[in-house]
Amino acid sequence: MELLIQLAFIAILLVIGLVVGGMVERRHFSSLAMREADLKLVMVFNEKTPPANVEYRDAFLVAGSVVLGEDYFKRFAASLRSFFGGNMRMYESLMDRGRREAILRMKEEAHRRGARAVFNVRLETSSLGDGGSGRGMFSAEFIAYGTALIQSKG
Amino acid sequence: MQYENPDVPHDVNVSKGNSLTEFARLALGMAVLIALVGAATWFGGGRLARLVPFKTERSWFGERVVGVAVRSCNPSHEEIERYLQRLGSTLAGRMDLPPGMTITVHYTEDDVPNAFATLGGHIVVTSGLYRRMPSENALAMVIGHEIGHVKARDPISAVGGSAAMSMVLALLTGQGDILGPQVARAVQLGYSRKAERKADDLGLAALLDQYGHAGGASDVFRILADFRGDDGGATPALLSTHPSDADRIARLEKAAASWNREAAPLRPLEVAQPIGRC
Repeated sequence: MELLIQLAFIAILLVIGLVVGGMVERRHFSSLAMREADLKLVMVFNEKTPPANVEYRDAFLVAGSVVLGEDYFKRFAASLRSFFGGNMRMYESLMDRGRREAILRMKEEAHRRGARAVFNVRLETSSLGDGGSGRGMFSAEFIAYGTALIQSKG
Repeated sequence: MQYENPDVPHDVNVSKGNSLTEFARLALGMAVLIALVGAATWFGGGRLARLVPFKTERSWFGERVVGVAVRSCNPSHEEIERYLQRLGSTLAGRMDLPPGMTITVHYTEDDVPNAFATLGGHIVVTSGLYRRMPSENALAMVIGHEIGHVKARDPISAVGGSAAMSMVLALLTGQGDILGPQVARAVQLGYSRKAERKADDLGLAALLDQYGHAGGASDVFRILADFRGDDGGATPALLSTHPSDADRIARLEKAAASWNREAAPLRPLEVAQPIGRC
């Protein structure tokens, strides 16, 4: 009986994770798509230096970071998946959202400060999990940074 | 500057597929796995339990005695316990125990004459038994019998199927407490006829080795049988399972047939039990 209650409790958490987590994820994706379209004017490059013919009057560091956490459903599915091994599909969307959000936030900063291009863009990810003990939630920080350039007029 | 950031397809970074279906498959796989391991454990039962190294069993319980309450209120408790431990260690030394197997003998206040072997190499002797023992030889027979159970790994294997499941959990979690209820039942009920007979044989061999004769051994079962006769109800675990009392007494007496009472008298108990109980 006690076991049944525990199982029911886990099932409820799983449903909440699936429904709410899924909703949050879908909303985030559509918000990303919208903001990416808005900020299309700010260009990002991974080259270290701008082309020689580009003249600029100012350059500064811009960065954007975000921390995303998993939902209960992802966590449970991932723990099952990590037992059998294979593609951790449930985390792919999480990582994708994180990277895109970090780049967007970086672009937002560049845009706010009047830059139209960011060079030498780098992405870094670090896990804020608890050292892989398997307990506790997994979350990850995504940071995007680069050198924003304000081009000279003309 | 002739550059632009083109629209990139963003859906390439996330694999297609329904997460619910994947989850269902994973959960099903896990359930099948657990069911298989569970079934194997259940049916492997006691056999599997005997494979757990004694060291592991000991590490689960340490100094704790599982399944039997150990109460002390007798002023000579410690002295008697030391004596029992001394006797137990001596006998254990003669019983060819596997390396690393340790025997810890406890003394508990309980007027029912009884002795138990439980998990982790712990043996419990009740005050009721100690009080009724006519000689050290008889006491040695009891302790030898219980050491025989430990040597044969009876306590851990007796817990059978359901405990084997708990045992897998114990192996996973490193905590042996969940085995408590099962072993309590098994220890109180006694072991199988075969296990009892084997423990008798091992105890008897140790007794012979220690004193050079098997005299006094049959006293144990005679006393226990008398107690049962008087008391009517409670059956000491030492007697509860089969080899019928008469059988056992006959076997032990046969072993002591060549014993010369005058040449090798029985040794008295070293520590007297004070009168007055709690």
